[in-house]
Amino acid sequence: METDQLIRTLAVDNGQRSLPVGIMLALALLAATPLSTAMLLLGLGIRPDIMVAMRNPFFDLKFVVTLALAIPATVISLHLSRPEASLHGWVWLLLAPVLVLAGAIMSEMMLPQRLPMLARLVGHNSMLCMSAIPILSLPLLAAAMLGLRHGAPSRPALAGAIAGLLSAGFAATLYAAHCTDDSPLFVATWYTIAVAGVAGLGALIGARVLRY
Amino acid sequence: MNEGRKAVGSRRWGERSERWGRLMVAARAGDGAAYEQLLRELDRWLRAYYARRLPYPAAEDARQEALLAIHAKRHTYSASKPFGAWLAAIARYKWIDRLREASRNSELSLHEEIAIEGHEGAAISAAALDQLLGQLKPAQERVIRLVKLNGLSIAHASGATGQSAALVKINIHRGLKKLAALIS
Repeated sequence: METDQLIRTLAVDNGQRSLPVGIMLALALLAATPLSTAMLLLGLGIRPDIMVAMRNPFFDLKFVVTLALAIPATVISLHLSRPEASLHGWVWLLLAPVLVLAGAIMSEMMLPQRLPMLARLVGHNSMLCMSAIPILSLPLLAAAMLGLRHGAPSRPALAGAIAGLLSAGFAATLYAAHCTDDSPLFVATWYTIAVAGVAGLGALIGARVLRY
Repeated sequence: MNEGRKAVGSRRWGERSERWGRLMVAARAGDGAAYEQLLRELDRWLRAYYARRLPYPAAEDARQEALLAIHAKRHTYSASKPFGAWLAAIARYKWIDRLREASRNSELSLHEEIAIEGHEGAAISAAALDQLLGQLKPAQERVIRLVKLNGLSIAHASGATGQSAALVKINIHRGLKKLAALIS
């Protein structure tokens, strides 16, 4: 095709416009959240003692940690959807959940505990944690990919990995309402493994789907 | 981003970047003439950019790919940021894309020779077609599947993919050209 003809065709096409990536991502995530929530409620349910658990600051902290991952990862995803963007200067945002967790572990260490450290780390159901978070994150990951496809990331695999972090972050926020292990040591170990798995999956999918 | 940095340093580049940014903002406001003017100037810049980096047919292809990407992704340009950096990033992405594709295709052609012997040159199987279509840009692959394999109309394919009808036609045309090049 002649370039001249191509340019004229594109110019005529100027009326056709895409919504900003942020709106597409928000719409996609809003559509997927009820699905992941339904999977949690129907598949696992909320822990029965939630009213009591809410008075335990370490239960509440789980939500702070997971949102401290999900929200910065969403912000970075949007940033990376611009072609000239790089992770430089933004990656420190991902320290937020690490810092919250480190603080939580330290305060737990300073308080008297009924269970020894190893028992708190191993918890009750690490296998469920490691499988439920990735499964709950699937609708959110698909939605994040759909939304971010409107962007133009220069490094699709990296953008996909961050999309994995954001979807795993929100999925972990949901799962935390079911999970009866509240120790920050448990969260730092098993949640992290689950999240890393989803990030890896996101990188694999992103490398293919987020190319433009 | 060697080129980008070197270019960003020069004053002339800064002026052009600002000018192109203004044209893009005007184009967004619905000024079709500004948009066509912008595309023509970018085309000239891209021609020089790829001429220095790729051999002739690949350079032409990369230039058209970059123009299409600029068009399809123009909503990712933010008016408060330098246009030049945005443009340089897309140009560079398409350059690397082209290099990667070139190395992948050289592997594929080797692989295909072996496969053809086994099949006695029979008709292309669905799996082989899948593999070939997988070599295309996702946008091209989708519309070719919809229109050429599933028999959808251009308008329907446009609705299904969110590409405008004109873009569907361009993508089919370019995809088929690419397929022909892959098979030959």
